[in-house]
Parts: sequence; structure tokens; C-alpha cells
Amino acid sequence: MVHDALATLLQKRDIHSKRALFELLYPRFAAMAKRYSKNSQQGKDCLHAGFQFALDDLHQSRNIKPELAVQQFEKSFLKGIIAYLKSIRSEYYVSSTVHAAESKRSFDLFASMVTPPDYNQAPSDSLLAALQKLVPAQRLIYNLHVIDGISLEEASEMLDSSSGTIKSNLEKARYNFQKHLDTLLRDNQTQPNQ
Amino acid sequence: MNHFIYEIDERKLKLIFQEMEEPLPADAWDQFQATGAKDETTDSIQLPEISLNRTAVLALGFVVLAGLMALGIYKIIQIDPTGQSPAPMQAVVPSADSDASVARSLNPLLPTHSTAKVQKDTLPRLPRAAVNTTVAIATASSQDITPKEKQKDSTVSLKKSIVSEKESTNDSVLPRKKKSKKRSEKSTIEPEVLQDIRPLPPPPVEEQEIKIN
Repeated sequence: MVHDALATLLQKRDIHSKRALFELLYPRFAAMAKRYSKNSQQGKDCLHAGFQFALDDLHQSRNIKPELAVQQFEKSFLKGIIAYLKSIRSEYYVSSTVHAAESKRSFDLFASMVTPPDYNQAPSDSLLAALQKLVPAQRLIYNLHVIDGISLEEASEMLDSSSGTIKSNLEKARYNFQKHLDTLLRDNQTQPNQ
Repeated sequence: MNHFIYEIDERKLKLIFQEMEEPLPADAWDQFQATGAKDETTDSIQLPEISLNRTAVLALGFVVLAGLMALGIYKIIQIDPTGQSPAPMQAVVPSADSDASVARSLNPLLPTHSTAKVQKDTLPRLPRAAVNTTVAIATASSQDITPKEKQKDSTVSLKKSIVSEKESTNDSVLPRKKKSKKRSEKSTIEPEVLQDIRPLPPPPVEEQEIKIN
């Protein structure tokens, strides 16, 4: 389906084929944009920016093989999302400091827990919320490497960062993701009891 | 001691997130068109995109600055592209012809051949004073006479000047260096009145011997 829509778009390059491809890819791409962003509104903006970036990239690359078109389109979509998130400079570069100052409750991950929550049985909503709580730099590398399966070298090229920064951000993202998930699961456990 | 243990199964997490899908709203394409999509008319005309970042601007500025400096230095130095050395400057040697041309420039009625016919080998070299007297005589006599008379008068005056020069060759006291200064004062064409120089009488010998003794 996606192959056919992309082939039609490459041949005709008209608005109808674009719309067909957009509606075909929307469910998956909207979910991807949502986990790369901090909320659903930013997710929509990420989706539009990423799709437009991928369309432009597709128009520029004329001699493209249909077999590789889908993979290249997905990668271009991710590049568009990264470009959009990095364009929000106030959020991308200083948000970690702001988040650290704004945190109201101190979290102790190593505190003695009577019943530790099972993170692998967590609902998808909690996983998505924990992921969206990460700062943009950590969220990007966690999404790229852990979920989308992109290697660290390629991720460092896409994010235009050094490998040391990428690895450091990935470890921080893993720690913070589990911390946020733990907090959310504990809150969910306490809310029904109240 | 407590240690952080990462307990999340990333493979399972990857499957969960990759299977996630969002429902397609009816106005999804309209929202995309309103916010992100470009107009089709602009897509048809592909303008060249020139990305100017800080590095490119700095490099361009440096190249322009270097070019301007090279141009300025080239203008100052004036390199000859043919590679030929400039012609050496020739020293101006004063001669009788040049004196005559100066006199002619002052009085255009003077005959041109009057000085050219004189052979330098046969005649003694004329000093400056003789030429000046010649010019003065010529200017004085060339006011109310015809050209034929002018020619005769010029030859006569030239002969007179040669005779007077013979008398005054031994009496010319002016050093050679001062002649160049005199040439610059060509505007005042007046004959020089040479003074008679007579030898001084010898001192009395007897008085000197007496003084020595």
C-alpha cells in the first residue's frame, strides 16, 4: 500500500497523491510524532513539519528506487522532526535546567520499596507519558536508538552531536525514563486506593 | 549500598511503541495544508537555496579583504607586465644649438641657419656672453628691416660677435658650473660688459728683502 502510494507520488507529484500518502501514513507517523514530542499539540506540529520535510526530500531526490523509498521517507520524516524540535532553541537547549529547577517533589529511586512496580507490565499510556516527560535531547536519543533502532553513530550524525554527548544523554534518558515511569505507576497505584 | 538497576525491557518497549497508531481524523489533511503544506505553485518554481552560515560569511569576507589588499598593493607597485626595463634617463648636454633654439623661442624672427652654418671645428667655441650679445644685436636690428636685410645683418652681426668673442675668450672668468645657473636666467638678454683685467705690478723686491733680514 505504502509502496504503491509512494510510487504514484513519485510519478505524478500532484496534490492527490500527496494526500493519499499522508492519510495512509498518518496513524503510524502521528504516533511516532507523539512520542518524540512533549504533548499532543507539539506532536501535531512535529507530524506536519516531518511530513513536509520528507516530501521536500523526496522531490529533491529524483532517482530513487521504489524499494528504498519507504525507508528513506521514514528517515526523512525523523530528520524533519529533529529539525523541528531543535528549531525550538529555548526548549531544546535549556529545558533540562528549567525542568530541574521546576521539579516540585524530590525523587529517591533507591528508597526502600515494599512493592516495586513492574515496569514491563506498565500500560502504553504511562509509557508514553514517561517518555514525553524527558527533556528533548534525552527524548530524541531514546526514541532514535531504543525504539526506532538507529545506531549511535547514525544518531550522532542526525542530531549533530558528539558520540560522548549521545551516550551520556542516552544513559540519563534511561535513568529518567524509569524514574518517571516509577512515579507514574506509584501515582496510579495510590489514586484508586484514595 | 543501593545501585541503579535498569529494569525496563527495551525489546518489549520497542514493540509496544512501534505498534502504536493514532486514529485518522477527518480534517487531518486540512490541518496539514493549513499549517505545514506549501503551495503547489511555489513547488513548480524551484529557486536556488543559498545557505549562508557564519563560516561561509567569514570565509567570503576574508577572501574579499585579501583581494582588496592585493589590488591596493598592485596599484602601488605598478608591475610592468611586458617585463621591459624602463629607458635610462639621458643627461642633457648643453650645446650651442640649444642656446640658439632658446634665442629663437624668445624671438621667432631670428634666422634659423645663421648658427647652423658655423662649423665648430674651424671656429673656437663661443662662450655664453658672445651668444647673448648676438641675440641682443639681432633683436635690436630686426625691428624695421626686410627679411633679406635681416639675413645680411645677422651674418654681419655674427661675424662681429665672433670677433668680439676672440677678444673675450681669454677674459671669460666665469666658471663652468655657473653656466647652468646663467642658462636659467635667459630671460634677461643683455650683453655683458667685460672688465679689463690688467696684471698687478710686481711688489718691490728690495723692501721685501729688507723686511726678511
